[in-house]
Amino acid sequence: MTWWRRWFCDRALERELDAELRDHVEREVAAGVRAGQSEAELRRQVRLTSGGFDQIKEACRDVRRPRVLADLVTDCRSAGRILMKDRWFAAGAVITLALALGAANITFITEYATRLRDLPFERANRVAIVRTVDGRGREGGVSYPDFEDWRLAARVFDGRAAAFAPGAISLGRDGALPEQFDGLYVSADTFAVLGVKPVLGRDFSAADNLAGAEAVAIIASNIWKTRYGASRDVVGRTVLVNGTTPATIIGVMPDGFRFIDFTDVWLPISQLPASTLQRRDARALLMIARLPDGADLDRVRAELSPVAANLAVTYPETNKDVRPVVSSLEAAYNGGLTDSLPLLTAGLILLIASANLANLLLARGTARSREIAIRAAIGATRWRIVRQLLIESLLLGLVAWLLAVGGSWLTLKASSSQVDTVLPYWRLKMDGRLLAMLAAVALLTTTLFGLAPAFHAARVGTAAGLKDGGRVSSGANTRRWTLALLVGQFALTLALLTGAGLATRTFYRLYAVDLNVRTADAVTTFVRLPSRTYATSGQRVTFHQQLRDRLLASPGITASTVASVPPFTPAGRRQLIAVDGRPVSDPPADVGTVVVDPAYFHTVTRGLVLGQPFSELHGTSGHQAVIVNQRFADLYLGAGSPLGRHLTLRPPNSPSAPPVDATIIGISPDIRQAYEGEAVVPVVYLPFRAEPPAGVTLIVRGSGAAGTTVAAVRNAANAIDPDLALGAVNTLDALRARSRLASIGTVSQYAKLGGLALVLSVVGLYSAMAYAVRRRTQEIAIRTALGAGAAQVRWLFLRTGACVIAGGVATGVPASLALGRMLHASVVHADAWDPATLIAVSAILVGAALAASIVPVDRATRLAPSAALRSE
Amino acid sequence: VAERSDLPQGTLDLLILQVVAAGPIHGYAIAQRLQLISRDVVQVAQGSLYPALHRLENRRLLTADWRTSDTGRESKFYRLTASGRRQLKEEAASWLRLTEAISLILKASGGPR
Repeated sequence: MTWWRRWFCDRALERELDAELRDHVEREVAAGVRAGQSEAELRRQVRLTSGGFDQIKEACRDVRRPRVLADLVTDCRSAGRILMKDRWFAAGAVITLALALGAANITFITEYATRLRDLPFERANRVAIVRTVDGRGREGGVSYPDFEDWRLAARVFDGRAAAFAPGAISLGRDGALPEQFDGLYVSADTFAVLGVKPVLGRDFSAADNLAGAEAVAIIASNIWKTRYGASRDVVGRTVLVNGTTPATIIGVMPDGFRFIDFTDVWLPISQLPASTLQRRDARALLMIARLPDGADLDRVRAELSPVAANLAVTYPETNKDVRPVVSSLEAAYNGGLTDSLPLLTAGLILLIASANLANLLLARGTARSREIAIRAAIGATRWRIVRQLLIESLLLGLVAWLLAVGGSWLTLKASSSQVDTVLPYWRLKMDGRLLAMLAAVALLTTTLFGLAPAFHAARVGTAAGLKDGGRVSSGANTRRWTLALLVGQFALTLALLTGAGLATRTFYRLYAVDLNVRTADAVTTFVRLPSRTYATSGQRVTFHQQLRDRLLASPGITASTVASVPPFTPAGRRQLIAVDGRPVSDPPADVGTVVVDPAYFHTVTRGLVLGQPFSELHGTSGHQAVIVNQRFADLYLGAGSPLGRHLTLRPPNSPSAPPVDATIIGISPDIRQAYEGEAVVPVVYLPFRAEPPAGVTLIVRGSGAAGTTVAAVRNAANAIDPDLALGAVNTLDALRARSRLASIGTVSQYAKLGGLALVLSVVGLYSAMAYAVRRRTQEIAIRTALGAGAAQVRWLFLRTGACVIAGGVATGVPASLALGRMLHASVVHADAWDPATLIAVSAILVGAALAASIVPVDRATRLAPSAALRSE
Repeated sequence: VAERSDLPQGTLDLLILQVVAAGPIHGYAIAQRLQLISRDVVQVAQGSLYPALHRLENRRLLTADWRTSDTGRESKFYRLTASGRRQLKEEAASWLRLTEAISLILKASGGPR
């Protein structure tokens, strides 16, 4: 007999078994009759000696397959049937649990990716990264002369340290259109320190790093594939770097290696301008070094500090009070962007979902105590009953877990492409250990509370269970549990939602500011004019004038402007020395600066709030003018017309630079530059003509598709300068989305989790209370039959609701205040205390609790007592 | 009536295999044959016989099919499989060795006192 026949052809086998045993009896009887005995007596004899047909059959079935497994199959089938019969309950339980598990999974995965990810470098925790902090507490990088001194003086490095500085690098004249890439200028040992080698070609050598060496470049795998078609003979090819320098490609780095963040091209540090490399105050570099075995970061600190102190004495002009800041490369990448709040929230949501589920299961368990008593009465062992319930619970937990896994897989798939552009080395992926842990949570919750009826049955005993189970009212003990769970859930939700409400309000306040920027149809690209061909301001201004004229003449292009940085990216910095000659603060305040051309405000926003935009005259000598944003006006200008006021500004980090006076000619709406610190930073807009930067962002608005607009920009730019490279093309929409994701991800994530908590709690609160009331339908009927009025009955149940509400508010409000303080401490944009949110959330929960106690009671009181009494 | 005696553990399977070895045979006939040959010493109840038959069938020592017998009844007839035949040979040999040894010991020590 094949095994599958044994397992799956039950009915046929049973028929055969029956026929075989019957055949035996018939033959025995026939033999007896032939020997002259009476048939009836024979049959009686046979039945007596054979010991009962059913026992024989059972023994044969046990042979067919082990009894434990056979019962298991039966139990699974009946569990499935029971859950299908009670499908609203099952759906509610499964969805609640699945949502919470999914949310927790996604949150944990995100946290893991941002805080604990592995970097694709050899033992990244053994790589030290060195930065500096100056006497005023401002963080900076390392200058090249300092780097050389530190490298040679600190014995712990053994000379093996590297420095690098980011910068845009364009490639051209290599068979493709010139294009701008994220570049990194690296010293020769950089890749060696990281422990990564090129997969094709060679690493930089010390000779490449010498001043005046032939220019060489190493490219990342991604542009090797996209720009050079993954051709192996790319090594040795000559490209025009930055529109001016021919360089030879000497290597291709491994897939996924984009050090430091999203670098596409690496050049030797010797390709940086000599001025950058020689100045001690040009702290544009970062320094890394691999720690030898046995050395730790403290040793690096101990060895660098005296060197820094010596430098401060030797070069007081530039190095006074400049101290090294040493951390591990891993720590520099991980952490900082997120905080533990989402984790806490996800945990609380799991708790709420568990409480929901516990309530549902407890309520249902009460309803089933009669069924269980019947099972016990007709011979089910306690283990068998427990197993039946266990299987049901496990089934619930398993389905919820599977849904959660599937859902989070889809979510991750949708969001990881977006996330890839924001942070390097983020890998949002499922983690087996995490999934196992969530499965444990799911199964523990479901089994713990799913088994309640079995314990109840064991305690009460069969007879009492039969008499009382599912009849009049749920047991006092279960009711106490339910009540406690409801109160706990109410309080948790209140706290969580108040926090989420705060986060959401903050989020939307920030969001409202973004409406000032017209993001639709706007394409941005970075343009860097090489300093060798565009040495003077005049040349740069002329280029951009020509570009603008050509663009506006192209079909479909409606507006074009340039700015030193586009919206949603960090602005430059200036020190605000004085307003109208009066010093603002000491030390002077930092304000944001953006250099813009006259078309900026009507291209990016809907024009100015007050005053005039820049004209072509502004920024030329004798016409020093600035435009400030509203935030700036609110902070520094006080009452009175802001127009015509004078500002005194100075570049940061250069106390010797002469301050510049300028007149405010306009007020712009708030345009967000970045989601850091304050919601909106005060920004001063400087006219493009005054100081046209070499690298600017071109913002072009076109009526056609983004692709058409980009093509028009490319054509216009290359018609003027065929070697000019355009940087990465973006839309304002994408810039906004990206900046939001990076910086207020926490807030929006928190708001989403809060919303989920609200839905879960309202559903849970309602269903648990409604279930409790429905269970007491017969009690209501009896009370009504005995003459209780509808109002009296209603009050009876409202009392329970009131208990839950009172208990929930009493514990929830203090908890939410505490959470609000935590939120305020960890998310800068959030308020600490917001009575409106607290009241609104309380109102929603109280409403849900009241509705849950009124609606079902109302229905029950309207039922005729006779009907209600009959109902099961 | 001869004295009935309990079968030692595991011997029923051996006896069944031996009886079935003679040719296709149904359950009732197996019980009759065992009783007849053993002169009524071995009497197998249905509750032991059929689970044993099914166990042997699951272990693929026996195979079965439904046939119409000479009396016109539909019965399940068991046959030995190749591995059943092997098993029978091995077990019979080892059983004989064992019983021989046991009787040697019993005789050497002078039989039951």
